[in-house]
Amino acid sequence: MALLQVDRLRVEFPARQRTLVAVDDVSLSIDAGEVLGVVGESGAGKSVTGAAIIGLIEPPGRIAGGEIRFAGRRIDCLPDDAKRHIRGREIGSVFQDPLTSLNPLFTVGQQLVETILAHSDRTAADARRHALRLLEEVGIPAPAQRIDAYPHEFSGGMRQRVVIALAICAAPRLIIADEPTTALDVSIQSQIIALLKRLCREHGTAIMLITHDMGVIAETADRVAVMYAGRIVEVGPVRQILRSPNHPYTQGLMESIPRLGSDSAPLAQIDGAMPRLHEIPVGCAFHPRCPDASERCRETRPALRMVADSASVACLLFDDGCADD
Amino acid sequence: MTAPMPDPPGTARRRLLDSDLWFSFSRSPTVVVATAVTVIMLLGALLAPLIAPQDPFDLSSLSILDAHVPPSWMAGEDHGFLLGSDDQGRDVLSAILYGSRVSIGVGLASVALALILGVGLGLLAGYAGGRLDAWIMRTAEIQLSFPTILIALLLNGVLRSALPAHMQDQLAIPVLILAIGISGWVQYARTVRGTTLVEKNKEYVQAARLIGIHPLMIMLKHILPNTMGPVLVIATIHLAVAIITEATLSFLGVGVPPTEPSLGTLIRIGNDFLFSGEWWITIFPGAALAILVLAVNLLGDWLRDALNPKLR
Amino acid sequence: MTGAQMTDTPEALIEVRDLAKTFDVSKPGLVRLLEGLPVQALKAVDGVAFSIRRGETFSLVGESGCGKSSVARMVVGLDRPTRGSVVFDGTDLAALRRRADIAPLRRRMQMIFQDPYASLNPRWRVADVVAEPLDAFGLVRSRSDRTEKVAEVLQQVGLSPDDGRKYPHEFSGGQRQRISIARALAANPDFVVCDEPTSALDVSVQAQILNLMKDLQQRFGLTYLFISHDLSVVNHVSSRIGVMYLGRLCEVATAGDLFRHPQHPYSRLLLDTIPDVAMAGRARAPVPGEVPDPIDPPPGCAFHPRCPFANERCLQERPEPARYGHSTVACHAVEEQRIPPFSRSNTGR
Repeated sequence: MALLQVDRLRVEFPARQRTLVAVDDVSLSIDAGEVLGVVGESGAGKSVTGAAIIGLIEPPGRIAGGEIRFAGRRIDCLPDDAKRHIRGREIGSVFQDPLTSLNPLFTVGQQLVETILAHSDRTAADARRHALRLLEEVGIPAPAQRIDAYPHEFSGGMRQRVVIALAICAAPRLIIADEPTTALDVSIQSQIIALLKRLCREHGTAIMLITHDMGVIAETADRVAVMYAGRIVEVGPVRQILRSPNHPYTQGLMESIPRLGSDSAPLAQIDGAMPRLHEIPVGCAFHPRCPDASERCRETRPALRMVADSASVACLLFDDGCADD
Repeated sequence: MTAPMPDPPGTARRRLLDSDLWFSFSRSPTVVVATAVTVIMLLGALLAPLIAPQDPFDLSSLSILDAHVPPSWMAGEDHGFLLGSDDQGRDVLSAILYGSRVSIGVGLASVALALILGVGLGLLAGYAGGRLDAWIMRTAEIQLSFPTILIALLLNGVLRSALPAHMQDQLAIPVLILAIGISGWVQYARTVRGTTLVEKNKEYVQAARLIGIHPLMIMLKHILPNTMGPVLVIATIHLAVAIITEATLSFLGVGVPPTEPSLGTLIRIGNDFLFSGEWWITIFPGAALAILVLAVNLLGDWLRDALNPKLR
Repeated sequence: MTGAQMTDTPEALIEVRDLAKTFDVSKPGLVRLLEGLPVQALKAVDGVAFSIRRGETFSLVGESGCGKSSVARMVVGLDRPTRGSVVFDGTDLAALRRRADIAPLRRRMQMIFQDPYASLNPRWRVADVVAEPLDAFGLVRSRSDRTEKVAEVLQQVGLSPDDGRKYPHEFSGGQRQRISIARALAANPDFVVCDEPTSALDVSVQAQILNLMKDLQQRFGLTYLFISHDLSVVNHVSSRIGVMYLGRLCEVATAGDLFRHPQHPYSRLLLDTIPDVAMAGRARAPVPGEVPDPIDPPPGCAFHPRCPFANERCLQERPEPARYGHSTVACHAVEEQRIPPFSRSNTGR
């Protein structure tokens, strides 16, 4: 059974004139020890999906439909107390900006100890020993000297390591990592990716890696879900999706990435931009930018369908004539 | 190629009705009431000569026989004074209408003066930086360490004593405006300087510098329009403060001359009769002042919240 | 140091000589005096020299804080260099003092900025934004002339002339970047500095903007100075590339040479960190260490603490740039031929 099972999730943000649907009919699952990459451009709904899973949708936004099950238990409609319990202890989170994830007024050690105490019944001294172990685990050099330092005394990469230490201090079974490397320099990025992968390998932690960077996905994820305008358009094993994408959007996305070794011919480009939430077209949301769009795409919304042994795609090109729901 | 056409008719109105400002306005009954009250009082002040039952400055129309008459709706004879009359037989309602004219006029003029002074100095300090910035802002901080009313009182006193005796009454109102205006520029300067510091490092300003636009033009055409939101908020709240300051000074007897009474002067005059039971002479001007200031303040508070994206 | 070795070619449009920028990052005067602290200087750029030929794209690449943006700002004249000079088409920019002398050169150099949300004045209509350089340099005679020119430039960047009537907030990030490009092109410049023009954009939009910039370069014979941290983008757009680390150039080479035979150990490190989408699932060896604090850079070669080839000499003596083949490299290990030939990801799996 999957560790996390999301079924037909829908997240809405009521606005003045209409209700904006940020996440629409998203289903995905993550197994224990698996890295699921969720990739998409800004506004695709990937971060909102992550926030919904950890129960951090800011009102007036709300989960308007679907189910989220964690280890078989439904977690989307729990009371706030129970949600808070799951957050941190069962599901850890790492966000893009390590500076805002840490409280500048407390030392790294204080923040770690506080979090450890909140999620376990260790003694204070034991919690500090555990904090030291965690700092060592995430690769902070000389943790005994650094534990009493303040966040601003760390570099960006080291801060992100501290954030990861905070996320894993209760040994969660799932980590939601939302653009964990975006604010970092390339050479530091690869260090953080290696760290996440090691945690995954050594502790069997599952990771939902949300990013806009196909390169990061390629290196880290086992499976990848591509999102566009609040929906998953394609999901499957990372090799398969990156080497032979099926959905026209994924294809365009892959071809528009400049590659090393390629000559300087013009990049393939997808014209236009992702629609804003209040102007998502009917039918397939991608049809205005799609080179293969037909009349049907303007009217019918494609559902996610299995196309190969383990990959699914939501596109009418792969919908062999059967009626849509 | 055709020249860009003006907006099709009606789009300005559409834009207003679609705007967040209008939305937040129409959603808040308090603000609608506050706006209505402010508009009514502004109109009352503006149209005083047309709508007031009596010209309180026209001594020939006053009769001492009409003095100390209670409001007409109270028991007793009806002299036609809706809110009663004062010790000189002046209609209190007319006095309030004319008085708010002076109060609002002095308030608006002082706000305008403080705004021009503060915005100008703030822009200069923020954009130029360095020594000029230090001088302007240190001055502002020194001024800020004294209560505003004290500064206004001080300036008013100094300016008056510098004038020849026969001009003191004539120039009382301009002097008052100067005093209240100068005492209030700091707020504008600080806010505008802060915004300027942020805006001047934005890339659109760099782009303008790059093509050699003169610093003065950059300040006026690029930065100034982007500082106007917070300035509008401060100006609204400052209007209430300025009216109160004027009233306070007039109440203390150092403000406008008794020949041209403002709301503050009326309250002071009425104060003497409060204990002889003639409460209407002071209470009605006091209530008018309170309602005006409250309405303007509510408006300012709402503007501040509505223009601050962080609170939305 | 002279740094003259890194410049070459007679037909250079831009020549940067021994450029340096030092920022005073000391505590405020009184605090410093009371606490007895020394004056602290941050050498954001230290002795950078290169030249850009007419019609080529020269890129500066490096991690945050390496000084690439400072170089760009000095080249266009937004910041004054602490030392060194920028020569544009034979004229030393620092030698010009009078406004009237500078204006004709200003018209010929423009800049495209990183943040499409901060680079357009939110209170101005797009047409006025684009026309600002036209007005500033007096390039249009009449109102209709101006309108026509604005419409022309908007069409060149793939927008409609009607878009001129709108305000910036009505556009997406990619479209705003097009407006920024339109403003830069309005005065027919020869040279455009592009400071991370696509790093705030989504990949699919990035491709549109990169294609547009290349297209415009060919049509108008533009020369670009391109600043980026993204090696794959740099590889795509550049003719020649300078790799910067802690305020200094470590290697200048043609794009082909740099990506096939990088010489400086830092260039190799950067190449190794590019995630490759074609290599899904491949493990990369993460590069150890971080960029040191620029206020207190290491002695000798600034890269030595992270360099696998560093020896005693690298700890003490700062390497000067020198030519090796077609590239210019500042590295003792390269000079002493202590470095094995490069193969991508040869640092192991």
